[in-house]
Amino acid sequence: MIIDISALAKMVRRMDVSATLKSFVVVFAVMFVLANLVNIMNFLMNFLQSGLFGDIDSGGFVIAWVVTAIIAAFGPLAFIVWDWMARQPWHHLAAISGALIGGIGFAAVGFCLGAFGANVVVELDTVFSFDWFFLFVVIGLVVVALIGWMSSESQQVRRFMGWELIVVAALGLGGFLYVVSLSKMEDPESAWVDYVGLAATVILLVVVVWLVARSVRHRIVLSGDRPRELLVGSIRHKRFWARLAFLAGLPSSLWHARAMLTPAFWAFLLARPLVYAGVLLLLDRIDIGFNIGVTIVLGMGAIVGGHVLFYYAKRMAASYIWNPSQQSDPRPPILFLRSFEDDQLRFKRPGWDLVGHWFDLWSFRRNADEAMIDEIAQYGPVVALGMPGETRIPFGALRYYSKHEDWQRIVTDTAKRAQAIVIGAGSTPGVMWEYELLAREQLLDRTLLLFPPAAADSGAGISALAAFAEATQSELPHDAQESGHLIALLATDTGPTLLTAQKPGTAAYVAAMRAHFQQVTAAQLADPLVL
Amino acid sequence: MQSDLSIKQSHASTWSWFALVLLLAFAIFWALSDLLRLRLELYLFIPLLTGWLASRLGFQLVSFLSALGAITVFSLGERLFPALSISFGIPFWIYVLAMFTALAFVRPRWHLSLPQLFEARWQWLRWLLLIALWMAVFKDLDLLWKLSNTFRIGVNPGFVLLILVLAASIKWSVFSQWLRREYWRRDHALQGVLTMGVIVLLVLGLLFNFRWNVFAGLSFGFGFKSADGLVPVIAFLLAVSAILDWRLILMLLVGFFASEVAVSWLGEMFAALSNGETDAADGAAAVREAIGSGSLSRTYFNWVDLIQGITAVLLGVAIAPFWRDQDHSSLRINRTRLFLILALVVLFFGMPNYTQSIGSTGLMLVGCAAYIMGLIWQVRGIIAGPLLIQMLYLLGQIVGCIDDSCHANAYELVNIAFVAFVFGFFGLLSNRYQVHPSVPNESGVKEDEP
Repeated sequence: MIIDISALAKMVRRMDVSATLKSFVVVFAVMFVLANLVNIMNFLMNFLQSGLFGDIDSGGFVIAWVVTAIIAAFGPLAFIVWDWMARQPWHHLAAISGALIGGIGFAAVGFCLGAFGANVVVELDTVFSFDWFFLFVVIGLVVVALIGWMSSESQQVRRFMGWELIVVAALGLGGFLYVVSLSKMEDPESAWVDYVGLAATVILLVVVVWLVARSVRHRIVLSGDRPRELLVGSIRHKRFWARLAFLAGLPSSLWHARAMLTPAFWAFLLARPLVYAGVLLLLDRIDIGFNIGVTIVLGMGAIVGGHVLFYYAKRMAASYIWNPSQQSDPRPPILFLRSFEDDQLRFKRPGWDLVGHWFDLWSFRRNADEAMIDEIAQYGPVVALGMPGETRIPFGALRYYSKHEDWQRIVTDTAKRAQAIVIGAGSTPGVMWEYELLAREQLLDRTLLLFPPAAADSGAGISALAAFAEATQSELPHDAQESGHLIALLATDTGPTLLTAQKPGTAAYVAAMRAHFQQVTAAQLADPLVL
Repeated sequence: MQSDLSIKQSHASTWSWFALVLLLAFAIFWALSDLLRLRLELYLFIPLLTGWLASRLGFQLVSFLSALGAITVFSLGERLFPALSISFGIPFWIYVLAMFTALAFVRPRWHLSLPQLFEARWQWLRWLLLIALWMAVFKDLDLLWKLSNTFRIGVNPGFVLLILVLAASIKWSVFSQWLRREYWRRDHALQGVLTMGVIVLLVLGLLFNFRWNVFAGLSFGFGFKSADGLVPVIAFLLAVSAILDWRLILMLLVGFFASEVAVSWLGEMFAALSNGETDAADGAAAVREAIGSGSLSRTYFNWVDLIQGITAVLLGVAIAPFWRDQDHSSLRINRTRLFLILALVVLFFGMPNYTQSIGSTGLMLVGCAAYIMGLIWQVRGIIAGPLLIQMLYLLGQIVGCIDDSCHANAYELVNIAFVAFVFGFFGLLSNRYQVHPSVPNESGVKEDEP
């Protein structure tokens, strides 16, 4: 069976971006709560010392105020509740909240149009005057364009009408800004700051519209029966600590209390606030008592420092070595097999996509090796054989550097007790031997075959699939070649399922990993999700 | 792989949704200024909810709808400030629409054999329902008694006639047999008692109504006073179910409202004649005088309800195939588009300019139009649909409101936009996550059971 997961991957990518952005703020939530509580206590102490309490008739009112303030002080932790709700299979709630968010957004549009309409209706006192005709024609054109864009089946008509709407909207917004600017110019007290404020308001407006649209789109997807954790990632042990660690952007290998004893944990945790503080400094939102030049230097320094700290956090996390002879972790391991030609299964992203690279860095999405640590290390230790001659251990699966004569024995033993095996598809002799091992030991049902992203555009994926089919005596899907880029092969309720995507992006591989570890059914993967 | 890695699905029970219905029964009116009057009538979304739940839960929704009926009979209102009031209750017409919407979405999985339930005399008795409706709409205030400054009681003769017609038409033996089979079983005893209680409440609510202003702006109501909003709903249901040809329904609607004018006119003319002593010439002069002064019947024509009724019929025609099959692909795009635009044009350009708002029924019609747009054109429908509706309203205002007598409220767009988007959004969801009628009935109720 072949399933195209392009739409699912698109959604997973969006959720990933949201989670990454949130993680920069979440770390501060605990601090916000503590600061709020301290402020309340301060207020209360001052209030009691002032002796005003005895003068107030209604002591109950003060107590109610304090209780309300304390509850509100915990407001910043509401994101935990929000995330908890997002993980429940409450598709009706998503539908209602989506409708409400969009409804309020359109009500705001209605308010603006109403303000305009109320003025126009009052001003118009003559039928068939120039103003009357002008308005009639403009609004009539908008009506025609809306009908055409919405209901035409012709792509060309829709494009034309769409451009007409954009032009009218731009002219309308431009006209509004012109009128506001004129009024400011006439005001002798206007300063350049006012114009900056106006520009900032327009930008803010665009951002708000974008956020509302994005939020509604998410809720359309979440209204379906697709498992939530396929979209937002799973938290296996749903404890408070694990939820907080997930929201703070820590990799799943650190979602336990013992992780606090490792320097990598603290480095990961501090890197984001450092970047966040740097941005606030550059935006002049924090007054540190220095002049603008020093503030900019400090801000830039904090941003760079945050990135460097995050990089070193990865290095620190990678310093732990797997020892197959000592099973320090009682959980069955997850074995990562691949050809050393592409040791970490690098994800492809064009060099000019700097924003994409930035998100990949902070969301552990630069390669499949990293992504596994972020997504599936919570199920058990992810282990792999290290590349011979490697001097610097990469961030990813725990490595063991075996002797050449030992590697097949170690792989065989580990594969037999592994809860899951992730293997990078290929046709090198080593990988072919691993295929045969999986078939011989009947481990294929717990195997996730990932097609190397770097070779996705060439025919390497198809030849790797053919090699896999030959080595394991499996049947090759007939139309695999015409199905877009190969992403993964996994076992679902309908048997071996080949996942493909129009673009071999990071999110497609993450979705494949989630599908395998969450045992998602083929129907759930195939649920149409086009937006 | 370990089995505990899999995701566990859960399904909310029918009754967990009842809390939401209670919330939807609230309405808030807030006059921020003379022009900006916001009203949040959440009950408008109840038919949407019952349709959605019916498509998911099927026949299980019967008890849910029964309980909804109990809420419909009662109403509470509180005027907190002169500019702000809150009310709790579900209008009768919303309940009727909600019931039939649910029925439409359950129908492919459950058929009620109506002919078995009625006596043969139903064939001619049913025509009396038209008279009952006429009386329920136009004679709703004829039997109203104000017993004190805070208490009034009324009887709507139309509803009384409706009850009498139904009582004379139903085969009580079949009905009681069905009740016994479905509700008088030991395991359904509580459900049976509750259902009977709701039916009794509904009948009582139809037979008489009262309103009691308790204190400090708080009022309590019981029963259904008027059937005002019922006309567009019935017109819609007749059109959408294709019971009658839509052109015939339009003619009936015009006749229905014109008859009220005619009856009033005749009544006034006879009154004028009888007041003009015994001399026929004096009587005719009195009639001429009344016509000349413009006081005779001119203000009686219910133009707003007629326009809303016509809009409802056009929307009914537009969505009829979906109503029948619950399959959006059965909609013929060109025909749907034509009737949809016609409906919106009639609604926004046909309304007289003295109306300050399009009213709850108008908002429901806007919602229906937006639902169709979301259903067919999905994402484009939920973006362009509400905008199109707003623009048409604005255009209607500019065309219609150009004299001093115009009291149009452009801020009605806030209410229109909110309702339009919500309905459009659920239209989109109905397209994307539709439950096919072939899904087996979870309740295990056999088909073709009365």
